[in-house]
Amino acid sequence: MDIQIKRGILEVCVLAAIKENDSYGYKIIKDIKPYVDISESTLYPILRRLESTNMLSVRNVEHNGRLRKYYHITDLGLERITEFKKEWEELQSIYNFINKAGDSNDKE
Amino acid sequence: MTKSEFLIILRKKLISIPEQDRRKTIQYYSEMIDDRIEEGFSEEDAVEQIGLVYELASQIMSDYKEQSSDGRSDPNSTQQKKSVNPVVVILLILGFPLWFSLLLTAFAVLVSLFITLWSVIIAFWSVFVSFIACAFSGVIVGVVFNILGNVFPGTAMIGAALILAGLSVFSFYGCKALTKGAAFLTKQIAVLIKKVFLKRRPSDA
Repeated sequence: MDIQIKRGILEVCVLAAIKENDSYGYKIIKDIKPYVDISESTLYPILRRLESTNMLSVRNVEHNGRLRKYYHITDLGLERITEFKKEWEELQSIYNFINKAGDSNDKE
Repeated sequence: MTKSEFLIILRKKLISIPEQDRRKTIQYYSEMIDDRIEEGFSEEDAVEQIGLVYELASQIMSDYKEQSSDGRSDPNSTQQKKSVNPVVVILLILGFPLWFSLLLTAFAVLVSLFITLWSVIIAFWSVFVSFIACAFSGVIVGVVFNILGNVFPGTAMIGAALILAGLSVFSFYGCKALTKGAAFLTKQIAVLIKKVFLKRRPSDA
């Protein structure tokens, strides 16, 4: 996948992964992996950026004698998801346009 | 590789990142390894899945530089941000008489070169002006002579004046070209000086 597109999408994916329930790093990766390839090193800067733009909040939870970071989506984060869905509809019509153009060329 | 080995190497590789960010990064990867161990992977496998620590470290560094590139655009040195090496400061102070007088001399030489260049240009233009002036006065005097009856000297004078007039046309174009060249040279030197000074003080653009 084109890296620019991927970067934009991954942020929203992470937000979606924590939308229903707070989640932690490794679980987020497991949830997203079937759809988009993501690694720890890709996830980390995304989490940092989402935190600095207040789309998620972090808290430490004790788990098996160690501290685990849980991420919680904020209102801003929820807004971002809604925004993305709207953008997606636009993308859909653009895709149809591109797809049709492709078809007429195939005829030749 | 064990988890602690991995984290120790990672910490070393990230030494140029500020303490707080470095600690958070190490914490994050430590957590990732622990989660995988909990999942059922062995410590070795867990560490392996995170990736090669060297590759990881350089990726973290480049992500970090990318994210903190607001106003500070010197990707080469992440070490000294605001602090200046005290040894350099001491050397600068001690050597002040030396480097400052050298700097003044260089500047003086530059200014005198500049003055010389433009004086020459001015001289050429004065020649041009005198050509025109002589041509004019020559014509006038020549006409006067003719009126007074001295036809030969009068006509000769007019002839000479016309020659001068022609020369002044040539010299005009010559002067113009010379001036352009001098202006171009001056501009180039000014740009060069600017470059030298901007190299000393890293710009924050």
